[in-house]
Amino acid sequence: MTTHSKLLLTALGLSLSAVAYADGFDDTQPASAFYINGVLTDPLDALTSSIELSLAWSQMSQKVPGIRFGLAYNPTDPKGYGDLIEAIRQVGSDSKGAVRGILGVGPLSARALDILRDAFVNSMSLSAETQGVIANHLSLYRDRFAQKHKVILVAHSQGNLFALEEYKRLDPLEQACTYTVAVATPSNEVPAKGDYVTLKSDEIILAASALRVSAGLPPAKPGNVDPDLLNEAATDNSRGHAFVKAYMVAGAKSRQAILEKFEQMRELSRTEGTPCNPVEKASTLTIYRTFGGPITPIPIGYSTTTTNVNDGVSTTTDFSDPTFQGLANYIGEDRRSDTFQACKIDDRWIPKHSVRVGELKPDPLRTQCSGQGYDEVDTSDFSVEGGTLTANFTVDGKSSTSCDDTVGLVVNKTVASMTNYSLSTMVINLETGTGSYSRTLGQTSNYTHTYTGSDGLKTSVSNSTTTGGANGSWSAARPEDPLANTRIEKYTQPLAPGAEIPAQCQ
Amino acid sequence: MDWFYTGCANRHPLSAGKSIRETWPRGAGLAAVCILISACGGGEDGSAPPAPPEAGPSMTLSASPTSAEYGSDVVLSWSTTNASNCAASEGWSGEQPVSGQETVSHLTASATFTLTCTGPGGSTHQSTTVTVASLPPDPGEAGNTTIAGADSDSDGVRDDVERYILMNTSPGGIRQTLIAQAKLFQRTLVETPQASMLTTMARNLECLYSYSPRDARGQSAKLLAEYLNTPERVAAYLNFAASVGAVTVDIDEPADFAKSCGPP
Repeated sequence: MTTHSKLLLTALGLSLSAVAYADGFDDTQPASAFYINGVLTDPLDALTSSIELSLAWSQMSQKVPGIRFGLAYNPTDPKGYGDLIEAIRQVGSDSKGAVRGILGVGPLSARALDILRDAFVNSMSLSAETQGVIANHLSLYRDRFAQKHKVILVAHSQGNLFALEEYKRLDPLEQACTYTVAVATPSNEVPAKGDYVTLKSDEIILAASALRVSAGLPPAKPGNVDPDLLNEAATDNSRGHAFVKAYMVAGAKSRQAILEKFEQMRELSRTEGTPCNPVEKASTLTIYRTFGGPITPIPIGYSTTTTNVNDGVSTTTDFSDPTFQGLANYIGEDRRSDTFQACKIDDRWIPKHSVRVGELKPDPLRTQCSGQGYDEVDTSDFSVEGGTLTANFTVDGKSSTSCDDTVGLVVNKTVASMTNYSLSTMVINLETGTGSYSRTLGQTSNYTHTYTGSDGLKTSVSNSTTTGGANGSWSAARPEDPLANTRIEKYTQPLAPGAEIPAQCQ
Repeated sequence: MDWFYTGCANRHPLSAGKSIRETWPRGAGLAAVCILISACGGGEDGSAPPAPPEAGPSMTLSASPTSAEYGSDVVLSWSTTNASNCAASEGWSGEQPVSGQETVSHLTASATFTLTCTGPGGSTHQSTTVTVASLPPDPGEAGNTTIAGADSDSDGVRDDVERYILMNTSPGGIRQTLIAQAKLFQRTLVETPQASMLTTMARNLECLYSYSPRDARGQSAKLLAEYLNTPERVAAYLNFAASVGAVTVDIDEPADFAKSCGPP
């Protein structure tokens, strides 16, 4: 295939892509594109480069929405300007002319050009002072990640060293949302989701690469775009290195290559479904539901009838009668609690649940009875819709008691088992942490009481009761606010870079 | 016998051999009534009365605007009656039609424009003056002894740079934007570096790009070079560039660049 054909296809591909975007752009995958300037680049030049990039992309893509362009300015270490100022002094007293030359709007002498080239080449490194710049840029990217943006970096020259270092400091989720177009990179690396464009005629990169090799480092990425007449005709004093005056010359192959790579990165960022919300990836909502304090697990109105097998006399015991002293036998402490958790990844809440098995602790004063209880909680029925979690769960509370009790002259031996079941529904707004709680109850109890009186007569009573449906008696025994014993905690702090994703979110 | 027409502000002798009808302009029939009243009797010999005198020309001349920026274009408008030819002098020159408009381009100094028009009844002339804002004085080398330089009108733009802008641009948006950018450049040299300066710089650039994407970069770069005309000023600007920190600046959508121009 001829070069001409390739160019034609490239141009065709780009224009087709633009048409596809215009036809139905998916702006649910927005992106931020940042230009990172290289060393010895003043703010005006850096801003101009950012604007030219934005303009070129806009013209090519027919104003595709969904990309916010910006400049991540990389200020040159003041010490780095020493060579530049020297280059200007070499020009003589004509500072105005030197500045024009450096900015590419006027001529420079060969001597000044050499000094300028050396100034660039000698500055192709990161110094200790750059840490603040890197931290600032990372903060910027994370801010955009939090806005669900993918980040596309377009770095030029030494700015690529920043892009590379910053990429390495992002955690894997953040890296998955970061794309890079490296222009005139002095490095031998490009971030994973990235590509590069270097003019084969870029004297600065050629010299910087040679300097790296002499220092025992791998050479810079080799030039991959042939210069054409448009590059050579540009009034460029950067020896083929400047972003606008060398690489982005209208109609030049290098400009086309940069826009093509950018297009590829944009397309990748648009189609990849990678969660791009690392800041909130650790967001969890935890709901602790506790049953504190004493409870009376006896339905009001519940009664038992015992019949003396010797004389046939029946006695009805009303458990809700305040005069009934035996009620104390049934007072215990309910220490059951549940813990619900939900994780927020991207914009989805994922219901998680961990169960803290409860304990029904008998009244410690009634040491003569031994008993135990536990809950089996089925929490599989979760649904989340629109940020609202609805949890339907059943609790099978099982307890058994065996004790001897002496009331007067009667020795009361009780063997009881009880199964409490409840069907509860908790509806929680995951964003605000507010919600409601309701449940229906049921109970199956089996008691066997054996009374042995002082008269030696034996009384044996067996009882089996089943209640179900909306038995309000237990609810009445609970706090009126169904969520009063519910504590909700929400953690939205971002994890430190590189931290593990919480297990409950995995 | 001399004929006069009266009842008007002036009396003009009518030219001999011309009838009144020929002299009066069309549609002036009512005016003829008062004139005939004083045309007492006929000629001594009973012949037709001599023609009334020709009316002298009158004219209006105006300029818009009358007060202008350096390098402005000024439109001169005029109209005449009873004139057959006109000639321009002072701020302009040459033969002019008896009515019309003419644009005087790139006015760099105050000027008076005079138009003299002549007709059968005589001649008249009128002048109008356009006041043009002058350039600030050229500070010369004396203006380079400090980083701030000379700013005689205290508008925030160094005099030599203001002269450069005024002499190389026409009044309008580009000039206004370059003035704004120049004020910002001045601040970068003499004030503590602030991140907001980059934002302002970006908005000015976007505005320039909205006028001419092809020229915006060159205009800005040349303006900066004008500002950085001494090594000390270069050093001050580089200090700003190094000290402003890792600033981030959003770039507007190209379609919205013109919004960065703000109110005129």
